Formats: sequence, structure tokens, C-alpha cells
Amino acid sequence: MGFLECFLLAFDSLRANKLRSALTLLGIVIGVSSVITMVSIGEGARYMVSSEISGLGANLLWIQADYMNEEVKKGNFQNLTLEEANRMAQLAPAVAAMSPQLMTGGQLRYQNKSEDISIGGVNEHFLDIRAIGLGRGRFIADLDVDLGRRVAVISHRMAERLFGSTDPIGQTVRIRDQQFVIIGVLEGEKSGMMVTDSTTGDNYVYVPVTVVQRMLGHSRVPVLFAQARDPRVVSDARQQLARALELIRGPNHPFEVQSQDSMVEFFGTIIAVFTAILGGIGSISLLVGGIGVMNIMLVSVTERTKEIGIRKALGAQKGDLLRQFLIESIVLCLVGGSFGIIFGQGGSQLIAVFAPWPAMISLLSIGVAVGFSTFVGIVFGVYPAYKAAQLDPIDALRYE
Amino acid sequence: MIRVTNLSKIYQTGSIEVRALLNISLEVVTGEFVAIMGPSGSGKSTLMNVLGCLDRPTSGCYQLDNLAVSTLDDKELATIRNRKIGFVFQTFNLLGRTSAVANVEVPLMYGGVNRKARRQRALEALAKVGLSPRAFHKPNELSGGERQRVAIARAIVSNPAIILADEPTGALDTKSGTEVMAILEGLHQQGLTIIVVTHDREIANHTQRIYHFRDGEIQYIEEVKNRVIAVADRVS
Ligand SMILES: Nc1ncnc2c1ncn2[C@@H]1O[C@H](COP(=O)(O)OP(=O)(O)OP(=O)(O)O)[C@@H](O)[C@H]1O
Ligand SMILES: [Mg+2]
Repeated sequence: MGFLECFLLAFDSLRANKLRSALTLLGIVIGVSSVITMVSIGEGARYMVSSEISGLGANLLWIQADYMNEEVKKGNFQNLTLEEANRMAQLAPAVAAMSPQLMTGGQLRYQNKSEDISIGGVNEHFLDIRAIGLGRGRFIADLDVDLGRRVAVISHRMAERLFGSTDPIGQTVRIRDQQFVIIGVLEGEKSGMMVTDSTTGDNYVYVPVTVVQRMLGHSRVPVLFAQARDPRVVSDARQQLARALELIRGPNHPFEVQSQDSMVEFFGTIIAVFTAILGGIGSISLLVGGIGVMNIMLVSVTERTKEIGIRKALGAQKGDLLRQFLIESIVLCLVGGSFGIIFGQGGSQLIAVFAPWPAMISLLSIGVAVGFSTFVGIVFGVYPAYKAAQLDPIDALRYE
Repeated sequence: MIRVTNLSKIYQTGSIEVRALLNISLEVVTGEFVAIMGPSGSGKSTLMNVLGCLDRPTSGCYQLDNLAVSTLDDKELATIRNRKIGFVFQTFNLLGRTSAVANVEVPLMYGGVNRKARRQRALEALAKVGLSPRAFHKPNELSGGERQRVAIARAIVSNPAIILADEPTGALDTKSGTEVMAILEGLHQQGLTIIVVTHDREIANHTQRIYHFRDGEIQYIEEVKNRVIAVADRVS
């Protein structure tokens, strides 16, 4: 008996018990759709994280305290000074440019308006390194840094809030009760929900690093950004910077050099675990669905004992019956799997509406779902089918 | 040719031993038309099941043409049931969900005949039992006599050499019973070997020889003197 034959037989007998087949299918539908949805959540999160990271800048590296280090946890360490930062830049030929970022807070006043702001002290390379676009005016220049000029670059949104339709360039504002001249406005905005910073949030105001240094009375840099000369030398740059740190601060320094790659890799690992857990939860419902299939197939074999007897009396081989019942459970699972794919896509799309990532339905997850449901059909169908095949013809015929 | 020697079938149910067949020996030559009679529980069905390769004897030999059936495995027995033997049951044993013609196709399906040839041969078999007009009816839309004729069509569709009919007329009225016997008579004339189990002397009179069973043993063998030849009115 050919496979086509078996498929037709299987559809026939599934049709004969429509409601029962549909309910059994439901288990598989839920299982497969939850696997697909769960995996798509993981994939979406991975996509979001890696695009956030690559949006941080071009060939970006950054140096900061390693928060896993015991000394750092206790606060027993000193950040790098600007002088140390400059020496590092000289020791790393693969680095094209570096910018420190000194941070402080304060208030900005303009006429009768005031805003709580974060002040970022950076140098002329910052914009380039972080791949941030300039909307109008100009960014901080090397001379601004050298002379410690009180100039500021604000975000697009803040410019709208403060100045409305007037041109902000050249306007004077008061930051921490000192006069600053607005020289530039950043382009649009970036979501900037990344870990290391919210540097591009809309209440950020960039001023020359030397100005912040004066405000704080020290030049310890919490984050140092660097840009590799091109994408191929990012890891060279990373090694050079790490070696420079060892030279400057000794082998037990509490800093680490990170790149987008290492970040993507790090989060990738976390997300892979997260995806595996979600997928595992989905698989449990698929497993439950599989048990439902097995249950129904066992009922079906018992119910159809007489039919099995008749088929055997007419010359059906054990293999014929094994195949008939096995294919029946596979068909059940495959049909369930197909609906599961549809609902899984729907589920992922629905979640994408609420989650900050797009619906990521990979062909892989569909393939895995189909493969998995066939596998479930085989695993949970094999015992009932084996039972059917092993029935003694005369016992089966006599069964009432 | 069917030859059994010292065939026994003993059922062990708990501590009770039921001797359904006890040292049966008989020989039915190719082309013969014989009957088995006997009271209920005398072992007739048990013998038919063994002859039909549905059941295995406890001891004894069963030779079918040149095959020693007792030595065959399940697979070979299934092939014999499929090709060599047509079984007709008292309760028809049709598959309820499918049409008459689909029922008749089943043995061909397991015999590996392709769909087109199968359908054609099944329709031919139904024509032989006069059921062409009912080919696409389901069993529950057919009368008992018609169902039994479908079952006969199914038994003959793979051109077996032997027909085993266990009380084929048991569930039918006299008229339908005679029709069934007329069909079997026709098959006999085509040279098939036929064994019929019956409680009805009239039915047994259609055959050439009657084995009288009692308590699992052959009590006596009777050659039928004035054989009745059934002629079907409706059956072609
Ligand atoms: N599976 C079984 N287990 C135990 N005993 C059985 C089994 N099948 C048949 N028997 C016994 O074997 C004996 C012969 O049974 P069998 O069915 O061959 O009788 P029969 O001659 O066909 O009777 P009937 O005319 O009523 O059909 C009976 O006593 C029956 O109870
Ligand atoms: Mg009987």
C-alpha cells in the first residue's frame, strides 16, 4: 500500500470523527503556535538589541570600568584621567579618534523656561564616533575644547521646547548659572535605550569636555569612546587599547574595552538562553498536544479493532496497518502544525504591536515547527500504530 | 487442495481447557464444493479460521496445495489470505464508512494493484454478484442479502482458488440464501474450491459432501445424493 493511499485513508478516518480530530488538532495548534511565537519573541529581541548596538556608532569601542570587578563593585577605583586617555590614544594606532565623556547634571534656563539636563563633556570627535547627525549649526570644535569655550549643542526636541520657531543658534542660555551660547542642534533623535548610556536622550546637552572638567574640579572620565580606523581593525584596536590600559594602569586594572561585536555577542548569548527557555515553554505545550494525539490514536485503535481484524483477514500486512495509523497521527500533527504556523505568525505580529521589536518569523522556526510536529506525530503515533499492527487477526475480528 | 492431518485446537481459559478441534483429518480436492454441519460449539468456525489462515492450530498439519501452512510466518499468512483464499463471514464484516465498491477494492489494495485497475476489477466482481447498480452505496444502505453479495464480491475479487464461507446464509432469509448459494454454485462451476459452514440442511444439499461435526471431531462424512443446483433469477 502506497503512501498516497495511506494519506487518503488517514484523511478519511480523520474526517469520520471531525470534532474529535479538531480537538486533538487544537493541542498541536497551540503547541506549534506557541513555539513559533516564543522563538519569534527571542528573534525579535535579538534583532532589536543588535540594531541598537550597531546604531551606537561606527566601528565603535568604549572603555569603562568593569562592573563585574570586585574593586569596582566596592567603588575602590579611580576613573581614567584625560591625560591617561590621551596616552592611550597614542598607544593604539588602529584607533582613528577618541572622545571622553564626562558627565554631570544641572539646570538650563532660557528666559522664563527651565529644564533639568544632563551635561556631557565631549570633544570634537564625539559626533563622528557615535554616528550622530547634526541638524543645524556646528558641533564642538577642537578650539572650543582647547579654550574651554562655553558653547553648547542641544537636541532637536529641546530646541523646539525652548525656542519654538526662533532660530536657537547664537542664543544665550544659562547652564548651572553660567552663560552658554547654543552653537548647534542635533538631528532628529535616536531612541538610545542602550546600556552604557542614554547619551542621545533629548535632555542631553553637549559642551566641551574642558568646561565640564572645570565644573567638576576633576578630569576623571567614566566612559571613553574610540573609533577604529575601519571595521576590519576593530579587534586590533581593542587589543591595542587593552594593552595600553595595562601599560598605564598595570595588569590588574579594573577597566574593560568593549566593542559592538563583543556587545552583540554578549547579549546574543543572553538572548539565546532566553529564547531557549521560551522555546522550551512552547515545546511543553507541544508535548502535551502530542500526548493528546497519542491518547486519541489509542482510542481510535481500540474503537477500530474490528476494522483492523477485517483488514488483516483481507490480507493487510503488519506494515500496512503500522503505516496507516502512523500516517494518521502524522497527518493530524501536520494539519495541526500548519494551523499552528498561521496562528504563530498572528501571535508574533500581535506581540510586535506591543513589544519594541518587529515580528521576526524565521523560516527556520517554521521548519523546526513542521519538523517537530511530524516528529511528535511519529513519536506519539508509533505505539498506537504498533498496537494495531500486532493485533491477532482472529481476536480483532471477534472484538465487539 | 486442502489437507489437514490430526489437527487440534485447544483453548486454555484459566484452568478450563476447551477442545475446539480434536485430531481432525480431512482432505478437500481442488474444485470440490463441500459443507460442514454440526451443532453450535462443535468447532466449525474454529476449523474455518485455521483453514483461512486467520488462526493457528495447537497441533497438527495443514497443507494448502504444496504449502505447509504451519511453517509459515505472519507475513506469508497475510499474503495467502490476500491471494489464495476468499473468506465470507456470517456477519458480512464490511467496512461501514466506505461504499460497496471501495470495500471490494480492499484486498486488491493490499495486493498492490493500482487504483485504476482496482476500481475496474471491483466493479467486475460486483457485476458477477449482480450488484452493479448498488456499487456506490454504503453497507448501511444495503439489505442483508446485498451486503453478503458485496462480501462475496470482495472474497472473489483477487481471484482466489478457495472460498471459505462460515454460515454465509445464517443471517439471511431463504430467498437471499438461495441467491448466495447460486453465486457459490457459479464459482464452483468455474473450478473454485468451496467450503461452506451451515446449520441448514437445504443449504448443505447444494454441496457435494457434508462433514458432520460434534464436539470438535468429525462424526461422519456424507456424500450428497441428490445435489440441489441453485439457479439465480436475478443473478447473472
Ligand atoms: N477464543 C476462544 N477462547 C476460548 N474458547 C473458544 C474460543 N473460540 C472458540 N472457543 C470455543 O471453542 C468451541 C468451538 O467454537 P466454534 O466457534 O468453532 O463453534 P461453532 O461450531 O462455529 O459454533 P456455532 O455454530 O455456534 O458458530 C466452543 O466451545 C467455543 O466456546
Ligand atoms: Mg461458528
